[in-house]
Amino acid sequence: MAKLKMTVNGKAVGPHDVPDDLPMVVYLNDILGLTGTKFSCGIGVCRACVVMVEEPDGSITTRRTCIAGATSFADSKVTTVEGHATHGQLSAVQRAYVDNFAFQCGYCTSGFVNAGTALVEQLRQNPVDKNQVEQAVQTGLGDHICRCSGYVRYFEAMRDLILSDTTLTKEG
Amino acid sequence: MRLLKSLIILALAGGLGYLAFAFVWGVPSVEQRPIATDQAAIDRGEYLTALGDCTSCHTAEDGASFAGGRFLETPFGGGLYSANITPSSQGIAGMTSAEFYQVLAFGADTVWRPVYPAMPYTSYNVVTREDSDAIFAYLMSLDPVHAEVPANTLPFPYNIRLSLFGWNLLFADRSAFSPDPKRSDSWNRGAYLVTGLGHCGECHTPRNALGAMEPLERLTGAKLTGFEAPDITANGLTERGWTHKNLVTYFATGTGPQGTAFGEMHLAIKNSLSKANPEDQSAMASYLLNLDAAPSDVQETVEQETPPAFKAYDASAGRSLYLSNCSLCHGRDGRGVPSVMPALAGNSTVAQTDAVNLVLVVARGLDASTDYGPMPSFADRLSDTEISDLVNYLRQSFSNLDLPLLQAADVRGTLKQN
Amino acid sequence: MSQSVQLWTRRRLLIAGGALGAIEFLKPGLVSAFTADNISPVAPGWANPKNTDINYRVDGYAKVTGAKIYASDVRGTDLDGWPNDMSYATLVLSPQAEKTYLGLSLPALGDELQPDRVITADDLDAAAFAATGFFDTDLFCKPGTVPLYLGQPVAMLFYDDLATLHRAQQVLIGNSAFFKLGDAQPPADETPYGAYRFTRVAGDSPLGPDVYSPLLDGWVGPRRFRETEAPVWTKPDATGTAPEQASFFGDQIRTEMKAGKSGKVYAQSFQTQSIDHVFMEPEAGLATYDADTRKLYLMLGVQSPQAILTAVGNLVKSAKPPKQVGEIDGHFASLGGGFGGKDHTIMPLYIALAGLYAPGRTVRLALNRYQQFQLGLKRHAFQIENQLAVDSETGQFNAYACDLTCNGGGRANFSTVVAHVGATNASSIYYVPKSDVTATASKSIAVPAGSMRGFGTLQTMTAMECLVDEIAIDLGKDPFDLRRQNVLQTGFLNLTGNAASGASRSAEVLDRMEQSALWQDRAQDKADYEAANPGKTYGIGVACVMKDYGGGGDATRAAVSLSSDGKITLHSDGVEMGTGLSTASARRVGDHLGRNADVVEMFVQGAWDALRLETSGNAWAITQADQDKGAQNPRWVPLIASPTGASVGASVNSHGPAQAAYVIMRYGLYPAALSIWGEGPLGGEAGAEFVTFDKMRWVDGKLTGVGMEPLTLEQLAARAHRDGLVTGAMVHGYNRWSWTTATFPIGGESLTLAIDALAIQQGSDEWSLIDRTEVNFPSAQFERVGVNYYATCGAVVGLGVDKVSGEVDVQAVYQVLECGRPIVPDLVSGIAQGGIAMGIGYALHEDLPLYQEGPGDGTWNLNRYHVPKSLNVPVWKTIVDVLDPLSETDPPKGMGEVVMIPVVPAILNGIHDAVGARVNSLPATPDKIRKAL
Repeated sequence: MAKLKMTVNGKAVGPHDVPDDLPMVVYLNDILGLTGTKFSCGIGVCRACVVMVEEPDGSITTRRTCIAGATSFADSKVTTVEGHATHGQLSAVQRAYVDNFAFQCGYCTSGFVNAGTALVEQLRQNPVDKNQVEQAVQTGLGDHICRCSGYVRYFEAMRDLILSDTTLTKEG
Repeated sequence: MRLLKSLIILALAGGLGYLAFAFVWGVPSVEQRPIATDQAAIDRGEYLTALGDCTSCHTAEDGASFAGGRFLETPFGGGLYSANITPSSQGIAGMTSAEFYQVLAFGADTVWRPVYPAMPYTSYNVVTREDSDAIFAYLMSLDPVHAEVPANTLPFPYNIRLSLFGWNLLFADRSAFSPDPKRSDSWNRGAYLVTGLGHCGECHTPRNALGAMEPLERLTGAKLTGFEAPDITANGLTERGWTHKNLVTYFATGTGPQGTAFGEMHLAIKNSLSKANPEDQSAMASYLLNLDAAPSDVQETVEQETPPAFKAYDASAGRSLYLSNCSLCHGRDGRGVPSVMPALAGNSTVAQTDAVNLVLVVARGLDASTDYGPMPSFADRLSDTEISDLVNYLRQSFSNLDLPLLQAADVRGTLKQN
Repeated sequence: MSQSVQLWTRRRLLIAGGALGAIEFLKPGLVSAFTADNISPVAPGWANPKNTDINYRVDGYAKVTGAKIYASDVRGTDLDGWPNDMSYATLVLSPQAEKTYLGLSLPALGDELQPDRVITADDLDAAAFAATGFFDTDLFCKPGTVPLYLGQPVAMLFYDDLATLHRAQQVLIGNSAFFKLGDAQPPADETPYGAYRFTRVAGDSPLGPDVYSPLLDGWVGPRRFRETEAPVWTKPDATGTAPEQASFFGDQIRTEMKAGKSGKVYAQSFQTQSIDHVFMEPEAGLATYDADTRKLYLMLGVQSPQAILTAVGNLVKSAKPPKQVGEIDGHFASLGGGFGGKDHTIMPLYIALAGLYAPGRTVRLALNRYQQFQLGLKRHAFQIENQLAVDSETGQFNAYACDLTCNGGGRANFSTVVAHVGATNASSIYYVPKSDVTATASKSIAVPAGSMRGFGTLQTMTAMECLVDEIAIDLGKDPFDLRRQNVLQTGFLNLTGNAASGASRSAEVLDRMEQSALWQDRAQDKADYEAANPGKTYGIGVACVMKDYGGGGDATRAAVSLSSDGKITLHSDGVEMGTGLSTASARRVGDHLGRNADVVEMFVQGAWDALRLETSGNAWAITQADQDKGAQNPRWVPLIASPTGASVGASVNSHGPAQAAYVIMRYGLYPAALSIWGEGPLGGEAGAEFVTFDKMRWVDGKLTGVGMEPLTLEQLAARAHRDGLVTGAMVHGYNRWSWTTATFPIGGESLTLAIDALAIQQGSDEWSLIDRTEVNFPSAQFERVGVNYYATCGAVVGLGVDKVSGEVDVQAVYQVLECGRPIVPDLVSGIAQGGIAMGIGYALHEDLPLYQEGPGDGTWNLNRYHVPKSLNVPVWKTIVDVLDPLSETDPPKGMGEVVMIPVVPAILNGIHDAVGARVNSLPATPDKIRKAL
């Protein structure tokens, strides 16, 4: 047991008494009531459970929450799928997915929202050549499993979004 | 002036002498034999090619099989690209079976182009001519792949190929395999495969400063680049809990109660050992454990029936880290999940004395293998102190050996060196 | 507008407001910092007044913001009236089915992980709970018996503490120490679940009449099963009963083929594997039981709500106190994937039991992925023996014989249906004058198989398309020419002797495939690929299939209501499984009302009570006399509800909403418009023109026609409410390979629609039921049709093969689809893209051993079950080409299944094209390809 505190979607949560082996996805789902983060394979393969983490240096990474205890997120700044839209407005990545009919059942969507957003943030720091965008999308989203869509529209949505934001690419 | 002249003459004489030596000694002559084209020879060759694990080095990532081009890092800086060994003009077209055997067993079919000992001719010397011919027959039966291999990037002086004959004279054994009449056929078969085609020693035997295997430390474990290849002598294996049955299972599946193949060993299992027939797998296990025959199941069952009792190690920091970062996959008791998550309890990597591989796996993670999911890397999220706490917890809890405790500085050192 | 998300995301009946409120059960006293306003952004633009293409899915905003819409999202605190105290149940599943199960060894869990409650077969016996009807089976293995199948549950454990549950679940994975076992036993009865023989002999014309066919003479089953395995058919008799004639003609077809009288015979032995659906959301649900009111509450995610409510009713109908159930209150969520695996799944019965054994608590039963592999339905593995006799000169197909067996595992489920659907589609897009197809659904100890996308036809048509490829090569014919030559043309009779619905457009699909750049430029593509990938060989494969949709007994219920301020609410009894059914249904409402439904609610129990429907008998087996008798009762319908499956979303589930919206338009909005336009002296602006209903048009969201002033929906709704015109319509429709039609007195007219029950709202009144004055149910004989609604789909696949390793890399896919009128084109192509990926997985990657070391052992997960990832799919090189409908009045056809099929044989044919290896066993693994070389 540890007194667990962290920041989720910009709000401080805790302190909570949480056993070390309670999965983060269960902490989010059952204790915070944030069920947008999905449990699917439970072994870190499918990445439906991915959340975004802001590192102390301000960089954005993603983490799987089914194979990591909630206490391993102690004092982290976590963003879940519920934390992207503000004032009723979808984030750019969310909007790109919705406008492109990217998902169908939607169960993998929160992982794709977080991975896609992390990719955009990473490209903002290190823009890629325009002709490397498809490869960047593959690198950023390629480990995520979707059973409905064949990935086509998720990838196209991200490619088009990246190409439409001049700060994310450079002339190749 | 005179001195300089003398030196030049001396150097020239030395050079000429070396050249003469290379010509006389460098490439032993062997008899010419026709290339076998019958299906039986080709099939046998395919099997032996798998046992020799030619594909792991001679196939580039996403490249065509046997078309070479895989980059092999060397400890001398730079590296080598493996050769195209398909029957194309960029590969082995036009080669004879004699030349192939010369390269395989002696590392050169011509004085002008000896191959680097990254090609394990220092082990393949024990391969019989018949087996070499069968492998050659198989490779020549493949479709030619017209793929150029990039130039090597070795620095001077390692890029002087001719110097290799001197290296060979010093370090390369050229003797053929001689069975031990006192041991069983199975043991001898195992010895032939382990020392020859299997070329296990190439990774598992320590090397000297010039990159040659230390003959007196055969299979005692070594480290080239990346992960350490553990001690696989009979003593080393037994100490870490390996049994004949588990070794055979490990060869066949890459997994067993003592752990799971990762890194280069994963490739060796996938492309080679798993394709060996059960008799050969058993023979290799017998040789490695120095047994004349596979123990009966009964013996092994008795051996395994008592579950290992692990010490309770009181280290709340390590335990807390373990529960939070590891236990959701490997289990609170480290028993893993069959076919999904490697057990840590009784795991041979956990029990390795210097913990180098354990630290590296924790810090860097592992890519997904065919059967196992990926292992995340923890270097960015755990400090050296936390990694040492965690590793100490693992080693004290999940191994019965008396293993030394690591300090944060040890972790730092290991990560720095690698 | 935010209302659409609100209502969409939480079914009104079940969830209290502020779903993300304080939740405090792990450690009392914790209060979460979250409020509802984080998650419900408004959905601008949905209503789409221009009534053009849909901008996005109606559930898009909910899904992309992580709203609670799946059964696995919900907890007791989210549900109005449900206990906040939770308990968590987990199933203990047997990893073996060969030895006697003696009981559970709970101490092996250790002191810390002892459950708070346990239920086993004994508890069910004591309370008289039993699965009957469709799910007739032992829900728990009884100690002293051998488990019926791998993965059969033996017990359910309850934990009131969440952390303990997770620990216990983890310890249970792949751990055999909990099962006390006796000796090995021989397998129990393995008599097949059923078998069929489809024999057809054409007359002089492919258009009929036939000499003999299942449609003319009835379906044929075996006399008995030999040694409990192979079907034994009735002895042949040319003039005897239908089964005797089937044997006679069937044997004759085979004798002629053997004697070489039918042309060159191509024989093929084809095997397909067992696979898992791997929907991303493992099955989960909640239940709670109030012993005082005898009411059982369920929160489920299934494709077949009505069937599940019936099954739970059967489970509890004989229960003894204190567990009697008087009422079941079922709530149904969106699905995180279904693909057939959540249709008639047995999981809800366990969820119901979970609730019944922890009164006063809300119980959550959720499978982890290992358990989903171990308990969830599987795709049937097939063994197919094909023989096709072909005129080797002309390439004409003369005769077809096929014997197929599908492995149903340890529960019957839909195995016999899968067998006959596979059989009756086995000839793919081709016409054959003589055919004899036998199909057996076998029983085994494998994890039970059920419906899955493709439903038997994936297996049989894949085999046929590979065989046809083989024949084209052997005869030196062009693969498109040979296919076009033998294609089933409009009106030609299929394997059951029935003509397909509508025009056959298979030849057009083949033309489009042939014209594709992927096919036309194949030589250049090959040269380019092989230059860029030395040592690898490029190949191209084609295949074309036509897949039936519909189940021969499909029902739709829908209610559309228009509020006085012009907001449209739709209730549909379909389930949103990700295909976009809710979006498409809203869109079909928009066809008539000028604007897509603002609010869509899927399957709300009791929403159709106003229709007061009654039924009797089995809709699939009813006699004409019984149906005629039933039809005299205006409340009677052959079937009240059917699952969302069998690709019926577009064709059936969205049909009800469209019919209901039409009624509102015709008897609500149109008279309202006439009323407004007719205001003023001498009939106002309308007085001078001849305004009729067929002239009405929606333009920019306003109703006009014949030059009348365009009116907004708000204006029309206000008038309809004021004047007591029709503002709501509730319908029921039934399809048995043909729509029921009925006539209703309404608005002083007789209205005939493709529905059989109607209730309306006038103005702001309650629902009032209208008795039909005439009804035409499709004749009972239609059950013999087997297949008549088809969608056609073809695929061209370019791929690379490494001949030495056997690795296959799919490079590009061009797919052509004919599906009538696509309701929402973006949904259609999206489903097709997903189908292609699933087809690639089935063809190359996914495989489950049936028995030892298969998923029944409880250690299967995505580490070694390889669902295609993006690198396995030609993400940037997938093209879906949808044929335009013949006219805008084409019906929307079911296309969810057909789009995953042709890519499978096209891959196998492409492998053959590349390296000459003919792999007749799925999946085509590198090892099999190397061996076939």
